[in-house]
This record gives sequence, structure tokens and C-alpha cells, in this order.
Amino acid sequence: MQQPIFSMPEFSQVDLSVVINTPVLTFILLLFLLFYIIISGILMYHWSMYGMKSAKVFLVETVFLLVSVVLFVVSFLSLYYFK
Amino acid sequence: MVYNSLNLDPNEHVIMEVRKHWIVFVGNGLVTIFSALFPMIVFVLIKSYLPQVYNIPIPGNASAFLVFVYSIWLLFLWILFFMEWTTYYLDVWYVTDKRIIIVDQKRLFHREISNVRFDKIQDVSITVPGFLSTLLDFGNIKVQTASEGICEFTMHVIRHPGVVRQVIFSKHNEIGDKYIPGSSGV
Repeated sequence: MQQPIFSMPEFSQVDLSVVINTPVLTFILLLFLLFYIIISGILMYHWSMYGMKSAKVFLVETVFLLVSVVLFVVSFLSLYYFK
Repeated sequence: MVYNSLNLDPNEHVIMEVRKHWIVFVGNGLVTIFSALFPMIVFVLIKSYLPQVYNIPIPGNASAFLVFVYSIWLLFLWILFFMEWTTYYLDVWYVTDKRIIIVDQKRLFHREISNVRFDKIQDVSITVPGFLSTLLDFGNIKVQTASEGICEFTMHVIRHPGVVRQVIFSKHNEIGDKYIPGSSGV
């Protein structure tokens, strides 16, 4: 009987609990939060220094922060429900 | 608008801000939208062609895990989008009643500022290169000055190039008239 040239590995035996667990995901989220704080600080510095206090910049800043907060809430909630 | 960071003279006023046309930013927007949808496309493709991958046992709540990864991905794209927007928005020419202040925002941390006084301007030329640019009223502008050799300042894909050229020329002529003996400006 001829063997197939390629066959998919059996994924059901893979154990991901070492890399996908609550402490690791919490660490990733906090690391990303730190990254976000640094970058948004830089953006806000640019907007306040060179944005000439325009209404458009204010609107953009508000949208940026609001959507970011929503996405962070979603990621924290998903982490909570992951447990 | 408050123009403190431009260090204007006490009686100097900004007449016009010249920015790139929004069409420049459409590409960035589309890339962001595609990148946001990309994980879903991959998800569907895997479901169709590699259903074995779904047998991987994800510890904990698998749906919550996928939402977690996707929300982090969206946040990352969100930040990148606003970094691009900031570079786009801060790349601007301020036309005042005395000069043009050229802010060349190349990247987030690369910013060059030049001043061009109207009396130094030799020529202002615009190019509207095609059908789309004619339809949406955008083009390139080039300002040539005579200070310390010929310098050129160019901005590509600006909004309303004809209006910008007209404003710069009218200010240039207004200031030029003041130096012509016997003209009404003296």
C-alpha cells in the first residue's frame, strides 16, 4: 500500500496550556498597555504641541481615547471570561 | 486656533493652512480596514481548508481567547492608524500675511521647519497631473526662492492648488508693490 506524500499532523494531541494561560495573557495585556501608554503619550504630545489647539485635533483625540478604552475593556473582559 | 508654536510676529496672522488632500490618506485607511478584517478571513479560510486546526484544544474559554487576541490586534492597528494620521496632519504649510512657514513632517520624530518670505519668492508653480486630480481638485505646488541660490519647496497632492497659488501670488505682489517707487503701496 502506498503511503501519502503529505498528511496533516494530529492537532488534538497538542498541549497549549503552557503558552495560553491566564498569567501569560495577563502579562501580554499589561505589556501592551505599557506600549499603548508610551505611544499615546507621544501622540498627545504632538497633538498638543503642534496641533494648534484645533477642533479637529480635539475630536481626533477624543475618538482615539474612547475607542481605545472600549477595546481595552473588551480585552480585559475577555481575559476575565477566559479563566 | 492658537499658533503659539509658530512664533509669529505680534501683528502677523495665519491666512491659510495648506495640507495634503484626503486621498493620500485613503490608502492608509484601506490597509487598516483590510488588516482589521484579515484575521477573520484567515479564520474562514482555515475553517474551509484546514478544519483539523480546530481540533487543537485551547485551554480555558476558546471564544474569550480569540476575542482577547483580536482586541489586542485591533488596538495595535488603531495606534498605527493614528501615528500615520498625525504625520499626515502635521505636514502643513502655514501661509501668513508675511511669509510661508513650511512644516515638513516626514515621520513622527522627523520634523523640518522652513520660512519663506514673500519678497524672496521668485515663482510659484502648480501641477494638476491627471483626471482624478482635476476631478477632486488636488495637485502639486512648487515655490522657488532666490535666497542664497535658488531653493525649491514642494508639497505633493495638496488640496485646491489653484487657490493656494492665487493666495501666495497675491501676497507676493502686495509686498512687491511696496518696494516699487511711485506705486500705490509706497
